[in-house]
Order: sequence, then structure tokens, then C-alpha cells
Amino acid sequence: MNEYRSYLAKRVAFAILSIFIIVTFDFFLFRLMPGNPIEILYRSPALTPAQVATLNREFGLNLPLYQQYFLFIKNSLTANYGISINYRIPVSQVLFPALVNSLVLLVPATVLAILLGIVTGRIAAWRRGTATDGFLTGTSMALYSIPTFWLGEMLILLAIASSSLPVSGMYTLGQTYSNFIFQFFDLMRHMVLPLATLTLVLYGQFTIIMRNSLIDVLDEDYISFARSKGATDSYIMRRHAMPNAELPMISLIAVNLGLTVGGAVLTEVVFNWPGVGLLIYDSINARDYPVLQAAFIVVAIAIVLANVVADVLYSFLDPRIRYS
Amino acid sequence: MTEEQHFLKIFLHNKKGMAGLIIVLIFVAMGILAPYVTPYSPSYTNPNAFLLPPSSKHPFGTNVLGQDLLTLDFYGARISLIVGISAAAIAVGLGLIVGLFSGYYGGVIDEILMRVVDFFIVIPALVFMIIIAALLGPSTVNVILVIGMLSWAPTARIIRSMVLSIREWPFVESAKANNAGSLYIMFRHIFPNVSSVLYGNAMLAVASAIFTQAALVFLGVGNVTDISWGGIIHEAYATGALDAGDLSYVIPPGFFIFILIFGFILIGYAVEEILNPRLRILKRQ
Amino acid sequence: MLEISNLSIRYGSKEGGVRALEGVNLRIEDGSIFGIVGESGSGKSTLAMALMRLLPKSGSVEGGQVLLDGQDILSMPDREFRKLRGSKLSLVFQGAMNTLNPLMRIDIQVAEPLVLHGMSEKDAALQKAHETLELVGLDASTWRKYPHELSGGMKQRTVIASAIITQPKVLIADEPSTALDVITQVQIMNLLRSLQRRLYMTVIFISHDFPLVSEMSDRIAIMYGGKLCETGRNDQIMHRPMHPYTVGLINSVASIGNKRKLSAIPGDPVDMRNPPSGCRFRPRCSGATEKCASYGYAVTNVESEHDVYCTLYGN
Ligand SMILES: Nc1ncnc2c1ncn2[C@@H]1O[C@H](COP(=O)(O)OP(=O)(O)OP(=O)(O)O)[C@@H](O)[C@H]1O
Ligand code: SF4
Ligand SMILES: [Mg+2]
Repeated sequence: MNEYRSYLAKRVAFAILSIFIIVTFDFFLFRLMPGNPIEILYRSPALTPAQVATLNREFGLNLPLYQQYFLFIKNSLTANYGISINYRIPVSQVLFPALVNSLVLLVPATVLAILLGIVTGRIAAWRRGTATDGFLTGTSMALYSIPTFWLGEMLILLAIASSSLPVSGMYTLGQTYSNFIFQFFDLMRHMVLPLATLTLVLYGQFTIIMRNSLIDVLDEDYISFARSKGATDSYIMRRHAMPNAELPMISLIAVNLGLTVGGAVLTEVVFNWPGVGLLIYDSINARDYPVLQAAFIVVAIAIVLANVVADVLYSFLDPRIRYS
Repeated sequence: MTEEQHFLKIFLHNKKGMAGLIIVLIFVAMGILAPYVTPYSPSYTNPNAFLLPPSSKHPFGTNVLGQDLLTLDFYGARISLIVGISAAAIAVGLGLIVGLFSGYYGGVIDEILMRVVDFFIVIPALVFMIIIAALLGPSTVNVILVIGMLSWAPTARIIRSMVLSIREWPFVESAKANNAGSLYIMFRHIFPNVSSVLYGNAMLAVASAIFTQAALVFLGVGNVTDISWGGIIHEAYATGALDAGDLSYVIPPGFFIFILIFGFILIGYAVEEILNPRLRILKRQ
Repeated sequence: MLEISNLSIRYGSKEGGVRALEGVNLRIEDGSIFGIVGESGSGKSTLAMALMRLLPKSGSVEGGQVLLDGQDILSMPDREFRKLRGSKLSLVFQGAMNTLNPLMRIDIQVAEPLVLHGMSEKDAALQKAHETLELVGLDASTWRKYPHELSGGMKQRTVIASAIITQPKVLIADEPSTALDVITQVQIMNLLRSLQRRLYMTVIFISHDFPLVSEMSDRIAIMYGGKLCETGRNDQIMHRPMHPYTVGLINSVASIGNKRKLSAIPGDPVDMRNPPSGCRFRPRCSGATEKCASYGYAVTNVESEHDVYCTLYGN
């Protein structure tokens, strides 16, 4: 039990260190890059003198670099990211709604892709070597290879040709809703294509991970052991194979979250979905450095935290870590 | 027969691997032969013939500048291959070095390097690349460097876990006993035993670098002046050709990216299958 | 009663594979310990797996019959056989201590056969599992543990508990004590013997350790290269060995004292991909004659219950 605690403590310490490194990197990235974006930023004619004064006070631009750095860490951890050049409001007011929108798309897509991946990966592993396996593995590798943005565009072309579904944004522009149900329905309609895009590109990877880890597990001795007790195939799958195969899935899903987020960014841009990805894209074009700097930190921290959750979940499900 | 020749022999009989190899070779030929087989020069613009639909003169139509899209699609293979292979070479090279050192020395060095690896595996690479590439300014070299520097961690992790077991093998022990230098042992004795895994991994790294390059250009933060598939899609998107339903503008470049990546993935997967025969899709006996 | 007649097993295809078992005939009486001995690769585990119908996909039964109390267990439908597997017929795998599921408490794993065969409800099965674990010498402090928390010997006892919980008629124990230290080995052997008496099981005891088999078993079969050499009662084999291989085994044990090793017989084990014609032991047999090259494994009954497969005895 003590070792379990120290394992968790180690993971949490690593997460804190990672966040610290990310914040540090972010600080220097935006200061030491060619042209010093931050300097440019505060000379921006878009800002009112009052805003410049606030920024100077909060970010200490007239202070030595190391003091700016400590100020930056403090501000980052208290979600004080300055003012957006593009939107002229505090960055956190732009960033956090976008983060919510991203999650609205990302969470269902990931869950759906994982569930589908588990189901088909399981079929493929069970029928290893058959035409079914060949088909499922082949389509998964193909889906894994499709560029996200292109798949999205293909779906857009289809939707335009059949004028069936909206291809842009979260809601119909200028629409007012008489009640919540209509609004929700409109959201669902807008979600179909981006959700399909993201789910499809993530699905292939999860199927292959599931199939390969299940194939490894099915060769383990405890599977024959269960069979020797008189277990049926479906019982073995349910009680012995799947729990053992899902365990590595959890850590692989966590590790691949970075990729998942990459896919989400592209999907958001293609479908104009107002999430963090689209915000980053727009901010690059608008040279909105405060937003970029904050987005960098927030996305990275979110992923580090998700990994901590996965570690805790993993260790909870694996008795070898839980009781050691 | 050396280990590698033996490996090659099995590979030549692997259907997926060969299919992948043929796909890749076709695209290599496409890039090399582009000047000889395409009907126009890639720099030829014609302000009077912009956004033409497909015709016998322009099988894929023309873009906003009146350039022939078929020609551009052929030339596009070059950047994808160059960036994909160079960025993967950086990533795999870094990963190999880190993995060798980490696994060979173990202890504190290993602990530190592995935490660095964990860090690089977890971070959202594409988001970082977008922002860094945007700050660095558009240049193909920058894109190669950024992709390479942010993609080495998975290779390092795999190589390390292999080195951990190889370093216990008798021939490594005896090399140590003979006072062979560490670097010599690492590259002369250990490297040959991880090379096939490394090649398989390199193929997957190329696939992901091709994807990333296309994605960066599509987002407008890569080099949009070079002719590339991602750039053509970006242009189609930015000029509204996509919304206008201009199929021959958008479909071919994306399809080429897709198939080229698929080719590399097939090769990589074939290597993995050969090294872990349980994964193989065989006919049941 | 378990009657094995003319059993042949092959791994892989007709051209490329190996025939791991050929023409095996055994009669195993109820309530006895039947020892099977042979060096590595002689087909012992193949026989065990074939009896349990647990051969890997590459393995197939080429011919023969296995009757358990008159019932042909090789040809019955899967669903039917599954009712016997783990209830009437149980197996302790070779390397059993590595066969436990790492994610499951051991008492649950021990209880599984009862639940799978609908012999008891979950709670009652768990209760019975605890009793059985107690019976094999594991006290209450271990019952709710996970495999990685146990020693090798404890894991071996756990697997034995799960194999006997249904009070099977036949228990196949494939090298149940190999890879354990000597003291644990003795404990496991004593445990098996006492369980056999207590539950009146038929135990098929498989080992490459000839002295151990001779200590444990009422009857013994000696195998070489997928074929039988000799079968008989313990006293017959030990006092009147007939087959040159058996004789070699007994002499080698005598000559190296308590260093139990089979490789003391000069020569290399059979290459199963490419076995010699006639008698498989021929290249290592000092008494080999020309007849042996075309020997078709006709059996000689040298005395009641004592069979030999060798040209020296009348064929
Ligand atoms: N899954 C398999 N596929 C192909 N050949 C196999 C397989 N399992 C066993 N064999 C071959 O069948 C023969 C008999 O193997 P088996 O495992 O039955 O021997 P054994 O007597 O149990 O040996 P040991 O004492 O080492 O356990 C050997 O030649 C072995 O190489
Ligand atoms: S048959 Fe011939 S070779 Fe075989 S054991 Fe008997 S004497 Fe020796
Ligand atoms: Mg065996």
C-alpha cells in the first residue's frame, strides 16, 4: 500500500514538473523568438493606453527577465493570461468557452472511437487470420492513414452535394431558439460531420491497439488455464481476456491524447467549430500572441492532467500496482 | 546469411510490406519524373485560365493562378517525401541515440532520459508545432526541424526497452570484459540487434511526418510557397473552391497524401508483424 | 477407466510439421497414480493437452481414440466435452504457476470451475474455494491475494486447488513440481499423493524425472520420441526393465546417485522433424540390430500388464 502511494506521488510529481517545464518553455518561446512577439504585442496600436498600463503592471514588462518569469508563472497558474489583441477582452474569457466547445466535440468522439475500436478490435483478434480480420485491420490502417482535414473536406463535399447537413460552426448563424430542445437539436445537426470525421480518424488507431493487445493476451497461459476449467469462449473473452487487454489500452489512450488533440484541432478548423483549435488558427492569422501563449499552456496542462487521471485509473485496475 | 538479409528475405514475402513498398516507389517515381511527364511547367501561370474545370488540356483543372493542377499534384510528391523522410531521419536518429544511452547506462541517466521521453510523448505535438512554426516563420527547413525535434520520443522508448535486454546478452558482457568502449559496444554490438525495429519505426515516423507537414501547410503555418499537397488543399479551402464543390481541386492532393501515408504504414506494420509473428494475418491451417 | 488407443497427434501441416505422438496405447485404471516419463520433447505435454482437448490450433489428432468410462471423449461435440473439462477431467499445466490470471484474486480463480459447471452459487463456490485452498495448505491470509503476492510453491498449490475443487475423476499433473526448490517439490508430491487417496482420483503424473515417477506411481509408461517404449506396474519396470531405454534410465540413476538426470544416456534426442526409420531410439541403442530399422512398433506382452515396444522381444 505504501509503495502504491509512492507510485502515485511519483506520477503527480512528474505531472507538476511537466507543467512547470511547459510554462517555462512557453515563457521563453514567446520572448526569445525572432522579433520578440511579446515586445511587438505591447506596442500594438490596438491597445488603449489604459490597457497598456494594466499589462505593464501585471506582466512587469519593465522589470528584469527573471522577475517577469516569476510573474508569468504566478499569472499562468491563476489563469491571468492578459488581454487578447484580436478580441480586446481578457484571454481567459476567450479561451475557456472555446475549451468547453472543444470538449463538446472531443469527448464524444474519443469515447465513440474507443468503444467502436474495442468492439472491432475484439472481433478481429478473435478471428485472427480470417478474411474478417483482414478486412477490419485493413480498413483501420486506411482510416489511420487518412489526413484528418481531407476526410473532413470529403464529408463537406458530400454534404454540400446532398445539401443535407450544415458544414460549419456549432449553431445556425443568427438563429434564435424558442426553447432549449431546438437549440440542442441544431447543435446535434452541426455536430454530425465533425464528430464523424474525428471518430473515424481515431477509430482506426484504437482498433489496431485493441486487436494487437488482445492477440498478445489470448496467447497467455491464463487463457488456456481458464479453458481447462471448462470456460466457454465468450466467458474467457469477458472475464479473462478483455480485462487484461484493456489495461494497456488505458495507458495507450492516455499517451495518444496528444495525437487526439491534434486531430481535433484540424477538425475544428475544417468545420469552423469554435473550439481551442480554431481559436489557435485564428490567433495565428491575427498575431494574437497572448491567446496563443495561453492556449499552449492550457492544452498542455489539460493533457498532463488527463494522463494523471489515466495513471490513477490504471493503478486502481491493476492489482500488481495496487498491492505491491 | 546475416540477420538483416534474413529479415529482408521474409519481408519480400510479406504481402502488406510489398504493397506498401510499391506504393512508396510509385510516389518516388512521380516526384522524380514530374518534369518529364507533366504537361506544364509548375511555375507557368495563366491569369486568363484560372479555376478552370477539368478538361482534356487540364485533367484536374487549374488553380486561382491558372496553374495546371495535375502538374502541381505531381510536383507535390517531392515536398511530402523530402520533409517526411528528413524529419523522420532526425526523429529516429535522436530516438536511437537517446534509447541507446538510456538503456545501456541505466540508473540515473535512464531515469532522467525516460522522464524527458514521457514528457515529449505526452505533450500535444501538433499544437506545439503549429505555434512554434508560426513563430519561426514559414520555411521548409523549419518545418523539418520542428517535426523532427518533437517526434523522437516513441522511438527512444522502444529502443531503450530492447537495449535493456540486449545489454545482458553474453556477447555484450564479453565485449565489456574486453574493455571495448561504450560507444563501440552500443553501435557495433547493440545497434545491429535493434536495427530492424528501428526501420519499422522509421516507416511509421515518415508516415506521421508526411501527415504533420501537410497539416501544417494546410493550416497556413508551413511554407505555402513550395508546391505541396497540403498547400493545394489549403488554397482550395482558402479560395472557396471547396465550398464551390470543385472536386478535382481538393480530391487528388488529399488522396495522394492518404495513399502515400498508407504505403509507409503498410511497410511499418509488415516489419512489426515479422518481428512479432503473433500479429500476422495468416490463413488458418 | 481411461483407455487410450492408437493415439497420434501432429503439429503443423502434413509436409512441414512434426508428428509429436504416434500410436500411443494406455489403459489407466481408476484410483491409481499413473506415471508417464520421458525426456524433453518426447510428447508428454502433447498427450496431456490432447486428453484435455486443449491442443493449440496447429495441433491436430491424426488418429486414435480415448475412452473415459466408455465414452469417446475425442469425438464428442465441443459443448458436450466442455461439461467434462474441469469437472470430471482436470489438468495442472506444466509451468502452472505462470498460468494464473494476474488481475484476479486467487480464491475467485479457484472457485471458477464450480461456477462454470453450475455446481454451486457464487458464494458457496467461494466458500468451497477457501476450504480447498486450506486443504492444499494455504491459510486464510492468502485467500484474497493476487498471484503476484504469492511464492512459486503457493501458486502451484493454488492451481492444484482449482484443479481438484470439482473432485475430478482424473487429474493430469504435467510436471507439477519442476522449477520448484527441492523442499517445495517434496511437499507438492506429498500433497498430490494424499489428495489422490483422499478424493480417490486417478492421477496421471507426468515428469522427466524418472526416480520421482518411480517413487510416486503405481504404473509407469516410458516414452521416447513420441512413441511408447514400455508400460507396466511399478515393480515390473523397476525390477525387470526390458526396453534398452528403460534400462539406460535405471542405470543412469544408479550410476550418478541422487543427481537425477536423463541425459546420462549417450547420444542426442530425436530430431522430431526428421526421425530415424523404424525404432526411434535406434541411433542411441547399443543393442540395435538390422531388424530395428524397419521395426513397425509391434507390441510384446512380456508378462501380465507389462508391455514392451522393442525388436529384442519376439518381434
Ligand atoms: N505448439 C506446437 N507447435 C509445433 N510443435 C510443437 C508444439 N508443441 C510441441 N511441439 C513439438 O512436439 C514435440 C513434443 O512436445 P511436448 O511439449 O509434448 O514434449 P514434452 O515431453 O512435454 O517435453 P518437456 O519435458 O520439455 O515438457 C516436440 O518435438 C515439440 O517441439
Ligand atoms: S527396437 Fe532395436 S533400436 Fe529400438 S530399442 Fe529395441 S533394440 Fe534398441
Ligand atoms: Mg511438457
